[in-house]
Amino acid sequence: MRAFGRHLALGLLVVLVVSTGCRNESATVAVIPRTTATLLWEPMHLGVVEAARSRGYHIYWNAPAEDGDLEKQLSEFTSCVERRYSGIIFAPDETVASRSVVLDAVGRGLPVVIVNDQLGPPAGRLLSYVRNDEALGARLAAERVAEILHAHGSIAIIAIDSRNESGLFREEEFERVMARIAPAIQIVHRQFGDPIVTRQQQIAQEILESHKADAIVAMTAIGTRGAYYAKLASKNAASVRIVGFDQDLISPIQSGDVDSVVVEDTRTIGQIAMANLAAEAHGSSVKGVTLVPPLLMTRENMNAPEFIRLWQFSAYAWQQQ
Amino acid sequence: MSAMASKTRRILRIGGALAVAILSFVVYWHMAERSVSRNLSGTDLAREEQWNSLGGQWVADSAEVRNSSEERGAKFIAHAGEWKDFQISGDLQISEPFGEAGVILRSSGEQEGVDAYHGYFAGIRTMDSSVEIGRADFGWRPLSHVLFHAAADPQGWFHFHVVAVGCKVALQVRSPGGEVASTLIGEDDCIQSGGFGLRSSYSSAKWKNLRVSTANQADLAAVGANAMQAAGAGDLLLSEPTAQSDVQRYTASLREEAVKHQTQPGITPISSLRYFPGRHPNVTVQGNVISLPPLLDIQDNTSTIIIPDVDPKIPLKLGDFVEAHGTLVSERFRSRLEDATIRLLWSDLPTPPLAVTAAQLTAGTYRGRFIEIEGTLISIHHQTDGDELVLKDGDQIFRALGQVDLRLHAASLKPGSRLRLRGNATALDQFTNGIYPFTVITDQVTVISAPPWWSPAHILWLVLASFVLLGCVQWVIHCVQAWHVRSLLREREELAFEMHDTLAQSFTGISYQLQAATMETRGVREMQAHVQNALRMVDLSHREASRTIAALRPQNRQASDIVAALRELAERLSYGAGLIVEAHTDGKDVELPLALTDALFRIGQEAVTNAVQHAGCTIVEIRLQLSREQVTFTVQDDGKGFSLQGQTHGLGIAGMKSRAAKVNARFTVAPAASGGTCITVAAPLLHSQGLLSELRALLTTVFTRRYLH
Repeated sequence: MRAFGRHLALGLLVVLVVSTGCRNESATVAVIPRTTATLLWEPMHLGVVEAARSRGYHIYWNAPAEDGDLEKQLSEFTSCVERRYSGIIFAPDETVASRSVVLDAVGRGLPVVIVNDQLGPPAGRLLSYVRNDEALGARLAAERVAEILHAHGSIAIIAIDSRNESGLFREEEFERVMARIAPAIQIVHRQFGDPIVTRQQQIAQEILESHKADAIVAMTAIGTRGAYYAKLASKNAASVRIVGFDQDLISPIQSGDVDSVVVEDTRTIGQIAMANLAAEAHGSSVKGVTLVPPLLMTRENMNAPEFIRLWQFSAYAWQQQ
Repeated sequence: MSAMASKTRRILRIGGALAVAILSFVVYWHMAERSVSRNLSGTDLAREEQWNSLGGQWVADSAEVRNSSEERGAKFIAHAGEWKDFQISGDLQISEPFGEAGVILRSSGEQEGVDAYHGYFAGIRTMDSSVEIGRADFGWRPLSHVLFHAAADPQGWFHFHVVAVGCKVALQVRSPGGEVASTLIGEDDCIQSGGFGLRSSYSSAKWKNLRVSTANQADLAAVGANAMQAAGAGDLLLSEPTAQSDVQRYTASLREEAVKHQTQPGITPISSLRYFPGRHPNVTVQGNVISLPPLLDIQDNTSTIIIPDVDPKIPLKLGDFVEAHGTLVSERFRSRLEDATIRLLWSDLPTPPLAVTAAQLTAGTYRGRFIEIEGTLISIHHQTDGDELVLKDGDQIFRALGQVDLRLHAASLKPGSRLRLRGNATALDQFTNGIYPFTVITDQVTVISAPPWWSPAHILWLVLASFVLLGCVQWVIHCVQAWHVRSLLREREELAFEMHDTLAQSFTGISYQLQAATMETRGVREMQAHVQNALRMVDLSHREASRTIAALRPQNRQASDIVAALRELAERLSYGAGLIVEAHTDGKDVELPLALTDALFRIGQEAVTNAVQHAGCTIVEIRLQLSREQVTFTVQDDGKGFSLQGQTHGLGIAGMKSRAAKVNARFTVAPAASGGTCITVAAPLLHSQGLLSELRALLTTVFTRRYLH
């Protein structure tokens, strides 16, 4: 009888240890952006960690080394689902290809918050969306283009992100607003983009050499960098203005080679996404779609507090996440 | 005494466990110390199996370690165990003007991803000619950033020396121009130990003369002695410089990078080639490699072009930016570059594929592009130069060929599987054989889903298994029915014995009395006595028949009841004859199994009847001895005995033997000591017998109702 008691106590101890381990694992949230270590995504890292720490969650943060590596991103997502985190915050690299894995995770009872994409399935008990307000961003960019071109001239649109619903909506909305506020500005070139900087540079180089546009509007951070590189390498392109989307390099704005960039407030996006996920995990209802307003960064306002707060991720001690 | 021994054993066990733990710790500590005290260089670090690659394209040989990829945060982690206080020195060359590379110290938990590890990174940045130390914990925190006074030549070799002792890390770098930059960091909450490795971002890079060895405070002081003033914490927020002079240097690096990658004069956009039908020598194109030999395909920002018959041994990888010079052959809006010479310009990132369907490829829109397509595998053929797959997507059947470096586990591919292929599609006859609308030259095959279970083969197996199962069920039913028929026949036989032992015996007695009455000459009174006896026997027979019926379903199976019933029987049969009946029950009176009760009663009934009617005895002794394992039943008389020889085949003896056999009892008939006959039945007592009997009865009832009624 005494031996049985000892075995029972040992068994209970093992169960306690195992269940404690599970609870620790379940208090971790996985965050999978499109890539990491960029000015676009690291503020979101900071925002998520800030919101997670106040709620007692740990964060696992990782993504493919490069934009556009869908295969690695989906593999990372699937791996996180198998590791049974208590939820996933996910910024899909490609809308259509990501639908089934997200729906599968939600079907398994895992809360998911989609960042910066219109995945398709409606928001529900375990699925919500937090994204950059693309309509507002498109309006900011269009108004800036109209302002610097004095509502006349021609523009080329490059690096249209065809892999992502938000990217397509961004471009469509930009054209719509341009047509409304500056109908005299002609769009002389439209081109889809990819995550290869060299190719975006060569596309922009061709536009610059043909002198057919007064301004280049780059719809992604990589497109903006490609246009900037093309302008740097060109001898006679100083007058061509560049308006970009999504923060990447700051010095081109400081030097004036890039006129302005529509900056996503990814720190706030991260904070809201984490708050939503924690609420979903506890069975509370959250707002299905939350839009976070972007900001237009120019040489004049680039040191404003609303931008500086985005770059504070570099000072964070990540071992505490 | 026993408690004392138990306590001693427990103390010994705990002591033993502690000893093993201490020994393990000492061995671990000793091994750790040994690993730290090692010096690694030259051939120690020259084999690729000593490294773990996480991203990038790494090669290690005796001359150098190099990464030919521009992937950000590509890591090459050494399999060299835990290190605490140690130093790494070597020479480093970074290919791109906008790049960084260096070494990882005290690392753990490394994964693919830019900052996906825990540890320190000490490196050189060509984009602003600086050195940097920082800490990665799946997030990057710069700790020190120091600029060279003059812009360094990014193509030259930097010599670096990094030392980690305690919670301090010092880095000293000598530029190709001879300028030295050094920095030192200290952390309170530092990483104390870990592995080491190499890392690069935005650029391919090479390391040579690598040396790794233990370090002490003197080493740290030597390297960190001239540490320069690092940038302030505010300036570390961004990886870009903010001071105007530094911005200019940074921009100059970017310009150099941009100029290197811009389209050069004399390069023809690929999309324009299809508008020049015929053969045109001396055409030069540039683009990224999207498909490797045998069907080299390059893509610029306008289109793609195929370059056939390229030597598969040319060291190319996906993403490489190449220049191809050769003869353009353009026909029917299909272009290719023949007799081309290939020149590698720089490495770049692989182009992500476009997801297309077979119908789209058949229409030609995406042919020649780097694509991703899904299909259901129809067949696979192994060839000496790769594997050939035939797939179907929708109504389209197409072919896929594995490239020379395709690591395809053909055994895991089964017809019916859904596959995803990445590669380049072509309609050239040499690849389609004129049969398929297009052929995908693939460098990667992924199994999305296994074949569905309802394949024809599986359905056939299912049907066969169903038949076998049905046959088994039929066979079991047949066995049960046969068993039941045998049970019925046994019951009939038992009834035959029963009739002999009861009714037939009774009729014999009645006949005997009536015969005596007819032969009675002593007077009417004696004759009436015989008739009265016969009537009494009829009455007894009737009651006995009732008891027999009741015995078939007995409600009282106590052992003593058998003895009492047999005593009553003997007294009734011998009524008026003065027979002495002795009945004994020895041992604990228990309830016996139904079959045993019935067998003992019937055997006793036969024995008593024989004794009364045939033996001419004066005393009949009935005895039941009960023990835990056995019951022994004896009927003994002092009569004249009988010849066994004459009765062996008689129904009485045979019946008794048969009844005894049914309950696995030993039956013996022997002369008694008093001269009469002694019948003994010794039966084993099985504790589970009752339960089995009841189970058997239950099964009999169920099967009888289910299958026979």
